[in-house]
Amino acid sequence: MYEFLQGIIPNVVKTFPEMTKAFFQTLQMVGISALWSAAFGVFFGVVLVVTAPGGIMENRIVNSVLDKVINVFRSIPFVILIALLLPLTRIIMGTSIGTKGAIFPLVIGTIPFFSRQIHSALCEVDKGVIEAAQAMGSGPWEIVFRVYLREGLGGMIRGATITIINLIALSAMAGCVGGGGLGDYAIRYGFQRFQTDVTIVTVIVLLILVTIIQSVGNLLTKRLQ
Amino acid sequence: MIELRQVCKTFETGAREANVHAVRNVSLTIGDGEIFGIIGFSGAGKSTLVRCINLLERPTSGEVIIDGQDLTKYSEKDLRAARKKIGMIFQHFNLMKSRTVFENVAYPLLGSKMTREQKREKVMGLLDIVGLTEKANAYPSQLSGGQKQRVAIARALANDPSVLLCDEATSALDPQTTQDILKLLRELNQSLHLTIVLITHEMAVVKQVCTRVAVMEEGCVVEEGSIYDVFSHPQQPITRRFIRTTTHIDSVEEILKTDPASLGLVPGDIVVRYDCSGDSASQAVVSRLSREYGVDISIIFGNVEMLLGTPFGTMIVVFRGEGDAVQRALDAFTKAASRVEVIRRV
Repeated sequence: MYEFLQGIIPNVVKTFPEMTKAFFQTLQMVGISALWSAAFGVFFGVVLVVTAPGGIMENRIVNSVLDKVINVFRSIPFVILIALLLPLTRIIMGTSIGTKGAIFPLVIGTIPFFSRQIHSALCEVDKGVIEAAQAMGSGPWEIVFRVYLREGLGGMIRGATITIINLIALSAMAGCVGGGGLGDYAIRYGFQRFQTDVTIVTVIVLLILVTIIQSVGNLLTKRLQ
Repeated sequence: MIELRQVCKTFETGAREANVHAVRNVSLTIGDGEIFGIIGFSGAGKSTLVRCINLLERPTSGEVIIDGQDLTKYSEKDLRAARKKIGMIFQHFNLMKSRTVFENVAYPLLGSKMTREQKREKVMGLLDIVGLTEKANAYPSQLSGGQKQRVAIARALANDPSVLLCDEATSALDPQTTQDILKLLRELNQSLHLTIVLITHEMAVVKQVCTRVAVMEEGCVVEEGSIYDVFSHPQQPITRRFIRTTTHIDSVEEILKTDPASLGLVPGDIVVRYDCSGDSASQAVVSRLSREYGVDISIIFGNVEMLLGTPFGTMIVVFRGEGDAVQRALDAFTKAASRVEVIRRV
């Protein structure tokens, strides 16, 4: 078996410990960033919905400021965002390089995207149901927790699935600040050293990872409906 | 008792001349235990008006007084407490699809001081009233339209409201289901002494359950009165149009216009429409005049409604006879019967 693998993917076998390390770095970056982005994304998504015109806590100023900030951050390419955030990353994370240094820009880059996902998931909650809750005497916070976040959960999980997969793609760029991860590994060995087998195996590993995440997301969404 | 005083609702659109005056200066008094109908075509402002009662829409001006308290002066917190005593059901049911029937009905009880057991008992009791106990663990998507509306009614009753607002509650239902829901509403009105405000565009619905009715047009209440008065003596053209939608009188008049031969009319015949009310006196008039003047009076169309247990009908009859006897009989008939109108002379 070992010899067979050495025959078809020699470079992967040679650098296998590094690949394992890169895999866990990817998991670490994606996992931690996802948690932080989820917390902020849900918060901002909810704020966007409730402060919108006709929303349950209508506030034109908050809504339009938040809306524009999200658009601005979404329009910055991620590689540039990493560079832009360098000083801030150093202050907040203590370092601007390595896996730790990559997590902060990943979070900042993902929050706007996830906020939009949450926003569109919550927009799908039937306005009539919100009205019914108001007619039953529910206050704004009760409506957020008992109606929006509950009725919109399926859509939110769908959004989270897309966001996590998106995070995996972004984490490939973490290499430029020495963040490591599978993307970085594929670039350094597969691309720069012409070890095509490394690139191919990395792609297969990512493919499996994405498939697992998508399946879990689909399963959860389906169960909720 | 619900009292609306000079309620106006204007939706700002930016440009003043484009502002939408959804409700204009409406004053209404709805007594305890009444089933009050508000009828109008779509866009008449009836849905906005009913939302003004529980302040889902805050009136631009005017007062909304329920049991002596002006809701427009309430704080948000007091208003929420007041809303718990005003149930509401909707055209599209507005159930939460992530919750079971039981959880939907239990929703208004969240945060109340009742124990789990008390809540369970209350919810099952409500489901029993609407006849859906066996569906307690089903999700709304598994129910038919009529069942969904029953769940919505149970949910609306969870906090023992004194008022139930129905916003086009039967408009998305088929005729048979509409009957069932109306029957349920009437039972609730009787057993719980529930005041019901019912918005609809169907005269048939008003006719069946309401004790009083208001007719809305372009944001104004143009006519209001007991169901019998409005049906028997409609004052406004729009009211007559609504009443005609529940009878076939239009199609009969159409035939009279286009194909009188099919009704076997002969020259000299006079076709007359009249109303007969609860007293059957006008019925006797027909046979009396027929004898006195030697004319034949035959009924070619009749429509009788039961309004709050009193019959009310519209008849189309043909006077046929020799010479001027027909005209003299008709003159006497006009005096004796109500709302006599000649619709065709052949």
